[in-house]
This record gives sequence, C-alpha cells and structure tokens, in this order.
Amino acid sequence: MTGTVLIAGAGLAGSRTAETLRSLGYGGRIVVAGDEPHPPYERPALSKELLGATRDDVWLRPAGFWPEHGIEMLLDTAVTQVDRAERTALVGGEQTNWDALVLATGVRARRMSGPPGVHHLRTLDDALTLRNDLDESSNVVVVGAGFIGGEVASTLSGTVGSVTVIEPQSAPLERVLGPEIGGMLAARHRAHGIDLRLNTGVEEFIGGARVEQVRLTNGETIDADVVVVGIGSVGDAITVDECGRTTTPGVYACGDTASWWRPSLGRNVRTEHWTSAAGQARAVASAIVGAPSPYDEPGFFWSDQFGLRLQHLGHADKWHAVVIEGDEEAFTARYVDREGHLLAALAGNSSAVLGSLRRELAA
Amino acid sequence: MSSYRVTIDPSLCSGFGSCVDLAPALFRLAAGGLATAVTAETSDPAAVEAAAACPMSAILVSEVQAEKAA
Repeated sequence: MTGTVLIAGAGLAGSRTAETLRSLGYGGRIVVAGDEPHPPYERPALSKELLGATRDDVWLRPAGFWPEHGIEMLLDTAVTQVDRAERTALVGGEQTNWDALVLATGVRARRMSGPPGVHHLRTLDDALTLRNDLDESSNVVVVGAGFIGGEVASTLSGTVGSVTVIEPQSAPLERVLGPEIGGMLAARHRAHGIDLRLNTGVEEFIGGARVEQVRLTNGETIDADVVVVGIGSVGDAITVDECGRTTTPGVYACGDTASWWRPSLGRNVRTEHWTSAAGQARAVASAIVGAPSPYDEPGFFWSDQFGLRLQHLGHADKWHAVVIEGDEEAFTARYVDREGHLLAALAGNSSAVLGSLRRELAA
Repeated sequence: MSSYRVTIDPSLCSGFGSCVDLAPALFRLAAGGLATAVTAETSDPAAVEAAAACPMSAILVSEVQAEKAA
C-alpha cells in the first residue's frame, strides 16, 4: 500500500501507530508530527524514575530507530488547517497531502495560574523543569492527591525539606477507588511523612517573583518553595469506533484524546492509560492497512506510590460493593455490581492475580 | 532471518497475559500467575509484538547476531 499517513502527535499512541504500520508491511510515507522538542518518550516514567533522578533515558526507541524505519519524525511541529475533504494539512507550515490522518494529540494538564515555582507535570520539559527547581530543603506543596500527585509526593518524600498534599476529597483517589482504599492510601501518605490536608482546596498562591505560600480554602496557609499542581487534564474527545475510525473516511484517532467504542461495554470510553494507547494504536494501524482488528480490552493502569504497586483493571464509575482481601501491604480489591459481577479490580503489591482478574473481566 | 533472545523481568511482570494472547507459542503463564518464555531464542517476530504490548514493559527482546562458523 502506498500514499501518506500523517500522524498528529508523537506520544505513545502516535509513535506506536507509525511503528505498527511498518511492522504490518505498510510501504508508503509516514509522517509523525509532535509539538514537543523531544522524540517519543515514556510518559509514565516522568512522575516516577525521572523525577526521582534514577532514570534519564526515557525514550521509547533509540534515536536511530525512526529514520531506520522510514518514519519522518518531525519535532516542535504542529499540524494545522486540516482539510478533510481535500485531504491536506499544514505540517509545520508546509502544505502536505495525506491519505490517512491519525489524530493522536493527547490531552493537556489542567492548569492553575500562579507565580514562578508553581509547576504542572505533563511533559518531559515539565518534569525536568520541576526537578531542577528542587533541592533537599524545598518545602513542596502538591495540589491534588490523584495518581500524579501521589506519585510526586511519594517520589519526593524524604528527598526534600517537606511535602504537603492538598486534596478536596476526604481521601486520596476516593472517587476512583472508593473510601476504603482511599483511607488506606491516606494512612500510607502519612506513614511516609507527608502532611496530608484533606477536604480543602487552594484559595490562592501567595508570592511575587517566586511562590512563598499557599492559602487554603479552609483559611490555613502553608509555606511553599515549590508547588506541583496535579488536578487532571483537559482536551477534546474525538469519537471513534472500535477500530479508531472517525465518521470521516481516512481520519482516525487513538490515545488519550479518543473516545473509543467498547463493544463489550456498549458505550464509548475515553481513557488516559498507556495500555489503551498502545492497543488503540495497533487497531488504527491495522485499519489503515485494511486488516481491521478491533480493540476492546479492559482498561489497565498502574501507579507506584509509598511502597505500593497499585494496578487497576476495568472501568467502574460506580459500584455496589468493594470486596477487599489481604492487608495493607498486599491486597486485592474487587469492585462488584449488585449481582456480584466484577466491574473493576485493584491489586496492591499483588501482581500475580492480574491475569486471572483480566480473564474474569473479559468473560 | 532474524533471531531474537527473549527474557522476562520477573520483578516487572504482572501476569497480565497480553504476551500469551499475541504469541501463544512463545509465552505461557506459570502456576504462580507470572509469564515465562517457553524458549530463550526464537525467530518468530511475534516476540517483538508481545514485548511492545506488555503493559509493564517486562519483556526484553534483543536481536541475536548470526554466529559464523569458525
């Protein structure tokens, strides 16, 4: 097959689509355009090993991989003025014809404005800037006890002066994992020396040339040299079918931005997980080469924090009961509906149960 | 033909099983729930697919240079 596949976005979803096209034998031109200055990298490592300075090599592939596979990897390059009828776009200002367009542009961090010293963590540059801003005496305030906030707090605990975490819910990850697991995570934060402030939010950041304090909605103020805001993401959702196809022939989407049709659930789901991005990229590449291979796997993500490897399978906005087995050092939590059917599961330091849970969810 | 050396890092493996789905001839889930490589070396390109799909990046696949007879 010949022609041009234009991929907007050079994260895991975009770059994996390009690789898979080649491994499926696509012989045409492949152009990947990413708006960051770096080649594709492992985003999950940013809040873990990269921030902890235990790993700097976060590249998905060695630098030579892309040219060796005939993939034009354009960095610092935006795709604009997409014309779906004429199948053209401006790629870094250059008029480009495409036969297939893949939208893998991801999402952005939800931001709070503040003086210098207030950081967000989404990109490699964000992570490097944050790391350079820290020293062993920094008083760090983390806004949001979600997965990013929890990992940042865990990575920094014991390596900086102090870490305070601010969370509007009554427990970390309460909405995602429930109050039972949330309460256990709160205890783990505190056991690792984190000053965890629950049921309160940020009123304002105080400081001029540099952040100095954070005022909370409960009226308290906390000294801060560095603030890390981890309050979720924003971005457009692009609706696609189970192969990543939009309603426009030749236009596909995958990764964080794709609202993906899940036949087994009977609805569209948008997920921001490594595994979905990789699986969806494969499905999109398969559809482009004319051998559609739907992706309909249970969602999966993991988080390393406070000595726990948390691994979550499935998708549950609400549940009837949480059945927890084990103790706080190694456990399984099953989120079930009224009939006892498994909707989602969380394993804490219990990796070996994941295979059977995954098969139970797929059944 | 390329030959690949396949190893699994047991500290990373979660028994997710995507490798067994993609390359059933190369991987299986052992009694403890974690994946093992059936063979240390293979020419099956499914090994590369399985490594790419592993959510924990626990599978290491390296290409083996053909050894020349002395």
